[in-house]
Amino acid sequence: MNNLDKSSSNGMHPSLLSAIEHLSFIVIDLNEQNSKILDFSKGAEKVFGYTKQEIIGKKTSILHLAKDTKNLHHILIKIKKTKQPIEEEFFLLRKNRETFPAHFHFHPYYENKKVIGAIGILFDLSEQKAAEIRFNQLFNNMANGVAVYNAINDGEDFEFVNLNKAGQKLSSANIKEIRGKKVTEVFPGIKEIGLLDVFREVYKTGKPKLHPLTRYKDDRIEEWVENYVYKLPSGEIVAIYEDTSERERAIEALRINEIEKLVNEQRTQELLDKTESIEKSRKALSYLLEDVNESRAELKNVNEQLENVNRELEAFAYSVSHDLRAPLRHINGFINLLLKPENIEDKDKIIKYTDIIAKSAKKMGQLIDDLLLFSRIGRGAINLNEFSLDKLVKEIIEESKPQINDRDIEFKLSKLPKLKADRNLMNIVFSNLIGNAIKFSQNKKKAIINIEGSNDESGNILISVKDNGAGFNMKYADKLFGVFQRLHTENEFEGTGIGLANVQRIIHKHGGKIWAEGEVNKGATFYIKLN
Amino acid sequence: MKQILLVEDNPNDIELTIEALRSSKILNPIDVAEDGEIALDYLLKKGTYANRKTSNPIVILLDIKMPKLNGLEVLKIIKNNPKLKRIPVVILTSSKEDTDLIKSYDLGVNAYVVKPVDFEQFVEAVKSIGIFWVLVNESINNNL
Repeated sequence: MNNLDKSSSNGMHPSLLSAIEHLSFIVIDLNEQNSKILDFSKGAEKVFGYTKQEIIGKKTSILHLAKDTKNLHHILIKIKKTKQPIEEEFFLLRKNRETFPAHFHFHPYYENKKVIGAIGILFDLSEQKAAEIRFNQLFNNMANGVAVYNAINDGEDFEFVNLNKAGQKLSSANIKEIRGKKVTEVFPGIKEIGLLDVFREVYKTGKPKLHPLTRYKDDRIEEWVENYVYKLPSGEIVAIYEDTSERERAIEALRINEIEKLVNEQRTQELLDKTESIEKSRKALSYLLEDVNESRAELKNVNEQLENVNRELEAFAYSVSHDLRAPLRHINGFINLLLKPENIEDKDKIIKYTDIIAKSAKKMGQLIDDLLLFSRIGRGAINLNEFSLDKLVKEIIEESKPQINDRDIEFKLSKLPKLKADRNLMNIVFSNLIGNAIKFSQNKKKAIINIEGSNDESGNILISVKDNGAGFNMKYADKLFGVFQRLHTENEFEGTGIGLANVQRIIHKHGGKIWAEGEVNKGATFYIKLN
Repeated sequence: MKQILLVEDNPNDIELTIEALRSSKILNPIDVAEDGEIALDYLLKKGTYANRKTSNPIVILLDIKMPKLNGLEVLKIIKNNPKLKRIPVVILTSSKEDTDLIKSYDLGVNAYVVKPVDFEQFVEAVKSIGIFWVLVNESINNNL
C-alpha cells in the first residue's frame, strides 16, 4: 500500500482511507509494456478471490479472459494514450475462473506528465446484472402486459417508454413503432374509459391505483382490460394490465354453464318426476298385467278343466256309441241265430244263445248303470266326513262274499287311517279296487290282497291295494284309467271298462292322485295319495 | 286257401262274424287274434305264433276297440312294416266316429266298415267284405 501511504502522507483522513480500503480498487503499474498489479484493496480481494500477497506483481491479464476484446488490457492502453479517466463496463475473471460483469472507473496518475499507472475502482455488477436480467426476463415473459410511460406536460399526456412482449401482443402493437408516441394516439379510447384520468391521478399522488375491469374499444382492438397503475421512483408511470377477454369469456361460459346447469337441473328434476310417474304407471301396469295374468291363469285353468270335461264327454259319447251298441248287436245277432231253422232244434245252441242274449242284456244294464254313476260323479259335489277306512274296507269285503264264493282269498289290512272324505264316493273307490283285486286274482289258487295305509313325510295319506293276480304290462299303465279302456278281453275278465275311470274321477275330486304298478301274472298295486 | 285273420276281442262278435262269413259261403280258414298284441305276434310270427307255418292272411278284419293295443295302433304298425303293409286291412268296428275314420284312412286302411246293429245287415256287410277281399280282390302273394 505504498501509494496509499503516500496519499495518507498527503494529508488524507485515516477513516477515509479505511473506508476506501473496503471499496474494490486496484493500482496498476503502467510503466512497463506489460501492466502489473501494484496494489489490491480488501474490497478487491473479496471480488476477485485473490489475496493481496498472491496478486501483487502479477500481470493484469490474470484478471480477464484473453478472448475478451473489450478487456482490461485495451482500456489501460487507452488510458496511456488519452491520459484521461475512463469509465467502462466489461467482464472480469475471478480466481475461480468465473467471469462477472463489472463497472470500472479508471483514473490515471502521472509522473512528469507521463502516465505511469492507474487506479481502478470497480463495482461488481453481477448482482445488479442478474437483477436486470431477471427483470428483463420477468418483464418480457410475464403473461401480463406491462407498459412504461413518461409524463408529458406534467401529466397532460403520456408517451410510451416501453411495452413488454405480452403487452405488445395484447395491444397488437410493436414497441419499436410506438416508443415515444402518445398513449392517447396509440390507445384513442383510453380517455373514454377513464384510464387516462387514473394515469394522471397516479402521476400526481404517487399512489397506485386499480382501474377495474372495463370494456376497451377503439377502431383497432376490442377487449376487456383491468389496469394496475403505479408510479416509479423515476417518475415514470407503469400500467400492468391483462387481457381478461379469456377470463371474461370463461366467466361468461361459466355463467352460461351455470344457467345450463340450472336448466339441466330443472330438466333433470322434470325428467326424474316423469321417470317417477312413468315408473308408477309401469308398476300399475305390471300389477294390472299380474292381475290379467292371474285371471288368464285362472281362465286357463278353467279352460283346461273345460277341455278335460269336454274330452271326457267326447270319450264318453264315443264309448257310448261303441260300447252300448255292442250288446245290442249281440242280442240282435244271437236272437237271429237262435231263430235259424237249423238251430231251432239244437238244445245246446238254444241254451248257449239265450245265455249270451241274457248276458248281453245284463251287460248293457251294467254299462248304463256305470255310465250313470260316471256322469253323477262328474256332476255331484263331494261331502266331506271323517270316517274309518278300516271299517269301510271291512264292510266292502263283507259285501264281496258272493263274488268271492268259495275262493281262497286272504285279506291283509294294515294301518288303515281315518279319512276325511266323501264316504259314499270312497265306497265306490274301494269297492272297485277290491273288486278288481278279487276279479284279477281269480286264476290264482290262493289270492292275497293287501290293503295298507301309511303317511309320507309331508303328512299325506298313502293307501295301497295290492293283489297277486293277473297284473298288467306297465306300457299300458296310462290306459288303465281311461273310460272303456280295458287291458283284458271279455273272455279273460269281464268288465265294462268304466270302473277305474270312476275311481280316478273320485280321487281327483278329492284333490288326490292315483297310479298303479304291475307286472303280468305277478299282480297289480294301486296307490292312492290324499292330502 | 289263404286264411282270414280276425282281430276281435269280444267272443260274441267273433262268433257272429264267423257265422256271417260261413253263411256267405266263404270257406277260407279264419284265425282269430283276441287283442292287438296277439294280432302282431301272429303277423310277425312271435311269441305263441313263433312257429306259425301259414303265409300272410288274405285279409285282416280289424276291430278298433280292443284291450292293450287298439285297432288303430295295430293298423299303424302293419302299414309301417315293409313285410306287412301290402296285406289288405278292413276295419270292422262299431264306431262311426269321424276321427276314427279319418285316422284309419290316414294310416292307409283298405276299407272301413261299421258293424250294423241289425244282424241281417251285419251279415250282409261281412258277406260283402268277404266276397270282395277274398274272392274278387287280387292280393300280393308275398310271405314273411
